[in-house]
Amino acid sequence: MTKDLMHSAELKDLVREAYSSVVSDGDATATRLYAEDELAGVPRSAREFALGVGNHLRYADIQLGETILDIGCGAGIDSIIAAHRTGPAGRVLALDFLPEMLERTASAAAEAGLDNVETIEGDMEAIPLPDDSVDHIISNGVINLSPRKTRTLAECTRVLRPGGRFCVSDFTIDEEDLPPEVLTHPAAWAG
Amino acid sequence: MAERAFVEKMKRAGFTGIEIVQRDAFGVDDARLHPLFTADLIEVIRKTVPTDKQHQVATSVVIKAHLATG
Ligand SMILES: C[S@@+](CC[C@H](N)C(=O)[O-])C[C@H]1O[C@@H](n2cnc3c(N)ncnc32)[C@H](O)[C@@H]1O
Repeated sequence: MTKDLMHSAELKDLVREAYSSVVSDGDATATRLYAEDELAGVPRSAREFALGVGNHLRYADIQLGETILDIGCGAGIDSIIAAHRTGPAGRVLALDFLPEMLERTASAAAEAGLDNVETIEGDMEAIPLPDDSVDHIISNGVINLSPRKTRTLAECTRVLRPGGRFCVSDFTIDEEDLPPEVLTHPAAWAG
Repeated sequence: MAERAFVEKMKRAGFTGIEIVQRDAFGVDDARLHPLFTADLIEVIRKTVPTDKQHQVATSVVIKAHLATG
């Protein structure tokens, strides 16, 4: 393995560790990001493990019948909202690399009475879906966690069909605004 | 990653119509809710980032784009 790939594997382990031991914050994140009417139909379990950074679904304009890919679905809050919006003729492919997150999403979807959410275990840097198979990609606070963002974005364009749409919330940082002590901290590589 | 770099990488991947439709300050208090901001990192931020800048240590953005049709 090249040094770069080794580094990338170490970073992913760090992310896995951080998210597999995540504890619920009650619904502090969910209520900060979403209005009460947006959360109608989202089971408590998905609200309580919301880990997103924004509310891109307000802009996504999800259409009935779309095939939607939620990259890094976590406990499923956005997958559930998107599944309600795309309706029974559409489906949400909820992708995460942590099986425990996928279990949370699957049980929240079942609790919400949705049978159009399909969980997929996989890495955003090698999305296990065929070319041109998705109408719409959504994602919340995830792409910044990829050690190889160029590759992740290339995977997004590969799986999206021509004319397909992309609407995500994520972090950006301005390195010039942050002191070296923060930029060089081992936990600060994301962003 | 800076917003500029994100947009550049999206262009190179083949996206078009790239728009940042929302930007919000992401401060140290928001960061506390996120697992990657460890207690240790939060402490370093509190010690080294001037108090008047701590309300925006990162920016949360919403980005929209699409692929060209066929
Ligand atoms: C910040 S949380 C966001 C979860 C969810 N989108 C939400 O808004 O609550 C990041 C999620 O991305 C997943 N993740 C991180 N790196 C990943 C990767 N390389 N491939 C797939 N999933 C990943 C984590 O397991 C975690 O569930």
